[in-house]
Amino acid sequence: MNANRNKSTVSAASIVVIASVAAVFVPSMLPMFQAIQMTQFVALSFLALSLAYVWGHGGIMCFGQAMFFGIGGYAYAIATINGLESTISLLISAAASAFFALALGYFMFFGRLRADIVSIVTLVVSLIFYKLLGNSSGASLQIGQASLGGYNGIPGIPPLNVPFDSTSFLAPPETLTFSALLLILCYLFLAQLNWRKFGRVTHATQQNPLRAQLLGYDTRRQLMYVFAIGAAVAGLGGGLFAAYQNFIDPNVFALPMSSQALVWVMLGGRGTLLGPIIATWVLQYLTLQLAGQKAIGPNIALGVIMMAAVLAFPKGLAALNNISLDFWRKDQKKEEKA
Amino acid sequence: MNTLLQTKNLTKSFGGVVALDNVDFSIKPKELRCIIGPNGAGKSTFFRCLTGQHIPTTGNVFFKGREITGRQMHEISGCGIGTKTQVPNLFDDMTVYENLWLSASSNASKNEAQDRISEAARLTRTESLLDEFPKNLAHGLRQRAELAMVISAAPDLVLLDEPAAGLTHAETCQLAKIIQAVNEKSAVVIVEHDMQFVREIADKITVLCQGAILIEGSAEAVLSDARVREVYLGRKAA
Ligand SMILES: Nc1ncnc2c1ncn2[C@@H]1O[C@H](COP(=O)(O)OP(=O)(O)O)[C@@H](O)[C@H]1O
Ligand SMILES: [Mg+2]
Repeated sequence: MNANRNKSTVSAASIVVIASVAAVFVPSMLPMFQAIQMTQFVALSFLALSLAYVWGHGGIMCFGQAMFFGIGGYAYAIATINGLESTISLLISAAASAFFALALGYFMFFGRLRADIVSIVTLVVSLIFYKLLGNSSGASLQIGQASLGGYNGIPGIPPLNVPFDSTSFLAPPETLTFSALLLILCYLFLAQLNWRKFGRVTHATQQNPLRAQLLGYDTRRQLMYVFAIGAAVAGLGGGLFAAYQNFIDPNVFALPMSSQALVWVMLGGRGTLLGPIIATWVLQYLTLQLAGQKAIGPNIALGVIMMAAVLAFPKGLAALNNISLDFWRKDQKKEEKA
Repeated sequence: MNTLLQTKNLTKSFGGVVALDNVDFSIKPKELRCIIGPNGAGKSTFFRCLTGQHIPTTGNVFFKGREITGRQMHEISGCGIGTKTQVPNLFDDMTVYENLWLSASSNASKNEAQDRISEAARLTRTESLLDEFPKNLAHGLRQRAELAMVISAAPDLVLLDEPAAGLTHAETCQLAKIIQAVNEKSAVVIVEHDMQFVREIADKITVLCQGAILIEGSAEAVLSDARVREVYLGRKAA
């Protein structure tokens, strides 16, 4: 048991180290279009990571996780178009999503909605965003300099600039490095939560909410916070996504986006944070490859691959190689002696 | 402070079923009380109304002089009531140590939590189980692990719903000793069917029948009461 724990911690740590080194050195070696492509993968990885946390750790099966990605994207667009610097704008993306999640979470968890109802409410709210923003064209829906543009979306979103210096933009390889390092930071932040009391209470809440409450923990508040933390991570990804595309439209709130995230987490393995990120990269890569071929529609081919993968690995890819990131399972002996 | 817990006209009905009917109950600090009564008498419902799992239909619950009727479970727990439910209720995928840690840390600093865990494990003789997962434990050990978890929070009142259910005779005797040790620090209310066990540890017994208190008094008086015998014989005959 212990050997296993150490092994998974070591493999997680080595993946983080390798990824960090790669994030710094690889982008400048890549062809430009590939660096740009990978920036998209990274942005989507935030969405995967956020759902991996909210669903895998918090047990909140959020069918509409993409809404926080979308809120982040729109927040970044509105902030930067109104002249704000991109680093601050990214923080605004995360904060906007987190605040909205706090409000929605308060309503859902303090209202003690059943878990399945929570899933559906998140989906419905994200579709409401889709409709609302889709119908938001016209001069009346102008936030400062930014017009929301309805289903046509918002074009001309500024890319990332050198942190806190809005006079010089980052080149695509630098953007990739910046985004990837930010992803690694978010991953580390979520992983270390599991070592803390907050993470242990999250785990307890997910496993046996009745017991957690009888021990004195407010599970409603716990779930609300988990939901908001996940939303902040998704929002950050949404901001990066808008910066990478220089464009955002209501499709980020649409069904395919959220369901894609669910597939990433299912395929990557619920309960791990790294698995879903890997699944994102694998599936996005396949999507790109399939887009080129004409024989069958790429969407059908991708759908078949996803279904086959989920059926073949019901516990997710992470189960294959024991990279299940049992980071949170504290070494009891150590703790006891301390 | 002469009463620790008091209920006034506590009533709980589920649709047409009146599970608790105007129960006036009180216990003193550090008291040990047994609640007996046939199946369906409302014993578990009574506990659930005290811990916030159920909201009473009418009536009040006071704890340490403050009204806690209808409060949230975590708030009531925070006031100092710990409970072992009738159905074993642990975090099965966490070690016993983590179970105790979660309980102790809910209202204690790091160091104090450590002390409480050691103390709870010593009292319940679960020191050797700390690295085990509850799901892998035999029933009797699970019961003890749950008791250890409950007392790790250092509650002033411990509610135990059928803690001896499914235990062997030897385990029951051991449990009686453990509960007496727990009682040195906290008041304990035990719901139990095992008469031998009840006779062994209780000074005072409350008999619940059809949601109401039938009789309350010293162990000898209650157990020799004709109505109590009738209730129990009736149950056995059914
Ligand atoms: N959640 C519930 N819904 C409906 N009826 C219930 C519920 N819980 C208990 N009851 C009913 O209340 C009565 C008392 O049950 P309970 O408190 O479990 O009895 P005991 O623990 O004394 O065996 C029984 O008639 C039972 O059917
Ligand atoms: Mg019962």
